[in-house]
Amino acid sequence: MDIAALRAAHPEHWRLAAAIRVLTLDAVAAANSGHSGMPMGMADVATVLFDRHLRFDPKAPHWPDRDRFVLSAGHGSMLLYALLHLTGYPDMPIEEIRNFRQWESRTPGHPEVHHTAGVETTTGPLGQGLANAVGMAIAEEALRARFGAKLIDHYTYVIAGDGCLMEGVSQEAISLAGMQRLSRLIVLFDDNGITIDGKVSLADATDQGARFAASGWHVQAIDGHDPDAIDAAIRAAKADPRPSLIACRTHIGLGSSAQGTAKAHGALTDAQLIAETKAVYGWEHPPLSSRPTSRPAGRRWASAAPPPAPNGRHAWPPCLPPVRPSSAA
Amino acid sequence: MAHAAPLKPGLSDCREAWSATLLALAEADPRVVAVVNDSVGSSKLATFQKRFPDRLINVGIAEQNMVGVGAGLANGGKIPFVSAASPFLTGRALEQIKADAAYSNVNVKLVGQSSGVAYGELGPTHHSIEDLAWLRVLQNLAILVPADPAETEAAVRWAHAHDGPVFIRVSRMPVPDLGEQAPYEPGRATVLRQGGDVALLTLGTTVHLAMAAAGLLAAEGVSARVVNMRSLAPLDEIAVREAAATGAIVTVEEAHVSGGLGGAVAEIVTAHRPVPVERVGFPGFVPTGSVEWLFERFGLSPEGIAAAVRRALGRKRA
Repeated sequence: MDIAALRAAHPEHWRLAAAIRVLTLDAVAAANSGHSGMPMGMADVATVLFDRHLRFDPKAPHWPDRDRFVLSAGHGSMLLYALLHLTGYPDMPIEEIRNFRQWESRTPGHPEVHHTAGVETTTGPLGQGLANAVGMAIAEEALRARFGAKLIDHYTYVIAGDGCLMEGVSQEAISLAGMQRLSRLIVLFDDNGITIDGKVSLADATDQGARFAASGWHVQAIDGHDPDAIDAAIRAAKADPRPSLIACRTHIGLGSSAQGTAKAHGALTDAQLIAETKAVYGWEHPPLSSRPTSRPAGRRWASAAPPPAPNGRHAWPPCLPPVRPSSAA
Repeated sequence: MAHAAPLKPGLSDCREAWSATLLALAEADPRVVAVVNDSVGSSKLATFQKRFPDRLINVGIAEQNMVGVGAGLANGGKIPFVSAASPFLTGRALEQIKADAAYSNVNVKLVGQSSGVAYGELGPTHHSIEDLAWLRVLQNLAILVPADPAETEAAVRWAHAHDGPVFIRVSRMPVPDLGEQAPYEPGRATVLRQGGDVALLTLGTTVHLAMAAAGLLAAEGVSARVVNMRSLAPLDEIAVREAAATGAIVTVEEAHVSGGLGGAVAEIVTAHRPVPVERVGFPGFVPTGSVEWLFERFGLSPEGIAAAVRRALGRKRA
């Protein structure tokens, strides 16, 4: 992987993605436990998703028409926590990242719904997130049909790993989504080829793209470290009337000496490895410092969310009559 | 599929009450949706499907996904009633019930159909006598076990109004109307018959059998209290402790004798006031056979329950 070339080609993207990677490295090192490799591998995909596509408002995390983001590969929780921090969720200050996996923190080992704002469903048992996301996408279709696209018009995005797709429940979910033609469901598959024990090929030789295609999905395969390719694939997925799988070929533990190995799946805590990896990233900020990558003025991570109403709830579009709280889904 | 015998006069199928209530709720509340796994027929949801074709989601034969989809629908503000044969809903999707529904405290309603030994001739793979034990330890999950059509309707309405995960155990075993007048509230048992010598604690399809047993016992001069527990979670602990004050308890349920009502009552009694507890139910995997034969064979009958009472009274005196 020519990281110098990646940095040079997309400097601003690189800075954002590197922030996710470094927060992960430092948080896992501070906790002396966790999963470093997945967030480091999927940081580019997640950056493009959150920066260019995902519609959400950190100040109103329950806004009904938000895009749903489900981290089905819940062990990579630092990916989500880093994003919640960087995008300004009020209850995800840097202190919570520093307290990763600690008692009473908002950053437990796996994302917990109702515990951390921005977490849509509890994940950890692999594959669970996929089934939940299918339900979310069905709900969106039903709500949009009833209320109209001016009120309900959102996507459900999933990041799933090899383990999620090995679980049997994934086929049940994939089959239903394909049959229901859930066009607003987009699965970003972290195709890194690595499990805890070693290569995925130890236990699984499935052609995942063919499996999804057989169930009626739109399937793409991309370089998961190329921001333009990621962006184009998400655009194509949105335009297609079928649910979409984007197989993102990534390197687990990108940029570290453990890159591409089973070692990177778990906690990378070696101080020298971390220092060397940060040097590769061109990262010079002190560990776990607050929001080193704040966006330039005038740009927001969260796009197109309507302004919050005075009571903190979102106002519905003015073209529609007020919605009674009891019927506001 | 097992075909139930034609209903005898005075007996009702609780599934009719379940489906009629869901339909009424759906008419009034657009958030209500049904989620099934090729189970429209066994869940008696054909009318619902005709009336609300877009509000019935058939996931196919895929229970784990079914519970996950239910949780996802709840995330979108729907009130999903996930209805499937209890052995497969609770057995195959137990982890999803634990993680997606109970632990996550999600507003999803799980309806276990044809529970107990309703699928008698289909054998132990299709019996659902373990479901109460499996689910009872799951925090946040209300477990409602209605005894007749009126209680089934009340349970479904309560589940709809309650913000949280609920399991409703619906039987296809024909049962008589109990004519209970007390308002329905999970965790509040109702005393159907007063008595001071022994207390019969029961729920679901066996409530009317316990009442008949108390009638038999009265002829022998035994005064048996009959308590309909109505829900396994929350469980009316005060009713159990009051039952212990009679000095002997018999639990009766269409379920495994361990882990369900019998197990729950034994936990409370041993902690507070040890008295003899006889547990009527199924001791393990039971043979393939008709529901009626299985009930008789394992003492889920007025005579069988009366015999258990006599055993309990014998231990009480000892």
